[in-house]
Amino acid sequence: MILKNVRLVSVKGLFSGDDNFVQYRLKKLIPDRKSIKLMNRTVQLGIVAARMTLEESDVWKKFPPSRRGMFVSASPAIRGQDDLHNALMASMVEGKFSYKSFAEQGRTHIHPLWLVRGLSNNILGFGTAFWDFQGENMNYCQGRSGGKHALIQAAHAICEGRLDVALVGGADSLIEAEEFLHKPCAEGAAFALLVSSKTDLKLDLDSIEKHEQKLSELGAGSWSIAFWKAYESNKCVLMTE
Amino acid sequence: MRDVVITGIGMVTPLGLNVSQTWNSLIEGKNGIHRIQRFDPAGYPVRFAAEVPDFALEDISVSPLATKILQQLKGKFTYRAVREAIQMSGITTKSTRVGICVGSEAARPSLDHLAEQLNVQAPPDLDEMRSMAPSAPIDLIEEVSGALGGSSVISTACTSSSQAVGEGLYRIRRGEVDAMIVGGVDVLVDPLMVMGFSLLGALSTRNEAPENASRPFDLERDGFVLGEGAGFLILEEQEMAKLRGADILGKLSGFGCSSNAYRITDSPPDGRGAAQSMMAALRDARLTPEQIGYINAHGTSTKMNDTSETRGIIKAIGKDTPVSSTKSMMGHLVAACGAVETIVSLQAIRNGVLPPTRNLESIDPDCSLHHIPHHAREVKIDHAISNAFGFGGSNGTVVVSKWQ
Repeated sequence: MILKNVRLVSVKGLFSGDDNFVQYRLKKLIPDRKSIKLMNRTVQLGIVAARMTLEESDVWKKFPPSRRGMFVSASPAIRGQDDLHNALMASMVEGKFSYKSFAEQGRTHIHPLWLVRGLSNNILGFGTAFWDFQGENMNYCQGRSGGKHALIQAAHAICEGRLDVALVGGADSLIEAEEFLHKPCAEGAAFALLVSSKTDLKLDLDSIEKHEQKLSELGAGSWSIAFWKAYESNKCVLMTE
Repeated sequence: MRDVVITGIGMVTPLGLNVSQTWNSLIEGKNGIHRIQRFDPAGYPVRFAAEVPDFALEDISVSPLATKILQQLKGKFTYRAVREAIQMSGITTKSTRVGICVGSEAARPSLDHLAEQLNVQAPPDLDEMRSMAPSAPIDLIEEVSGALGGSSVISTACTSSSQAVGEGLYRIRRGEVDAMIVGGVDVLVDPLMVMGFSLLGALSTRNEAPENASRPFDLERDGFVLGEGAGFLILEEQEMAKLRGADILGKLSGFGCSSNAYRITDSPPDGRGAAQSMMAALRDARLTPEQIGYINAHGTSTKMNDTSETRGIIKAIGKDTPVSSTKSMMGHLVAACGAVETIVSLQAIRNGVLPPTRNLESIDPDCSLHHIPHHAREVKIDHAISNAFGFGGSNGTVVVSKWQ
């Protein structure tokens, strides 16, 4: 696949299947520590991968914020909602759930920002705010296909002149889903930085797909991580004149 | 550049189960906000919402997954609105040249079901999870329409379906497909969402007078009202639509999008993000601010949104263009609002009538614009814009124009 007038500046990620994954202390790598209470595991992974990518090159800082865009593949939080669990358990009357008890007792267990924590577009929201990316943006929630779609749409936005630079990638954390998906699951995130260019970008989709097949279940982060892995292993992404 | 036209529209809203019912209610200034009927709201901080009237679907033969999706309100709303849009358009959707883009958030299981599962520590049912995923409407639409031109699901809260319309426009323009089914769906009237938004302090608490609760740009506004529904449009490449003799409803002239890059739930007070979105849409449509005859505002009825949007409108368009917020009548449809309000803007052009803002008794001096309070206004216009701004900071503006 050829993406016109786009250059890949950097691509970075982190993946639970890698030996160095345990070294990452995610919370220490979040740009704004106060925001951590609003971030689930997937969002933390996404923000750290985005930060690593942006730290590879400061070319994006040369463009005005309104010309910087962000495209993300993410998924809604499916687990880890302890306060909701506690609220529901506090709403049981004689072994049955009571809507009245939920309204009166259950709600006291829910954090006021519970709803905000669960937003599927939090990587996008925090990322654009941390690095001042004010331009076109999208958050795709379509599972494994989201990362590829995000990268292609970001490249089009640059090629069609709406953006000069785009931060694009995906993240997911499915470790806790292993018990009901009944297959090996993983977590991770990867982001790439694209800029406008006179050259084109050639993607070896077969190579990326082969890497994706080798990975455990990674949901919305799947394709982006495979893209990063493919690039690291054989530079499957080529610039063409 | 390929031009894009609209040939079909479909809506399910708290004001009606199709486009004509919804539109007629809007121009009559009817109220769609009442005490919640779906569950007993006693004890909840907020006890009213904008619910879609109950309706039954005829028996249709679909796969087990689609059957499960249709058992959810999101599935029912999607099916009905998409069917109306496709029938109106008369297009053959079974094609690799027809794509789909939907704005959607995850559906939620009923709380008693969720509590029961947690109580016995049962693993989630995978089919059930799939039927509630944001992508569930896509699975359903692909099956019933046969569209095979690629699909995508956008989840940017209240901006989701505005961006879905925008992505559809771009995909047709660049020639990837010749037509798109675009829109959005959301169901917010459930106990968990009512509680979650209440705890955030985002909702109006006028429990004693729900019909007066949604009052965008009014001095006494105190929050938004949860709603639900679906809106879908059929977009087509102009020459293809003409060639097949389609009844063209209007032109999709442009789309603009921006990020506040500010805070997750707050808009920048100066309206920067909103203004950027509107200016990008005008650039894309190659129109000047003076050419815009109507603005369907995001107008949520929260203190912050309405003042921020006002400043954005003044920066991008000016103070003289008529503005209304139809959320005053049908509440906030969140992931569906962008598409539904794009259809409302198109209807305003087609009918030469601008819908009003209900409950706008005393205009907030910080929201001073050319408002349309209480009663619809007959005005012939050529171009209108529809704004949508979401939690997370994404903003989207759609421009629709008269078909000459």
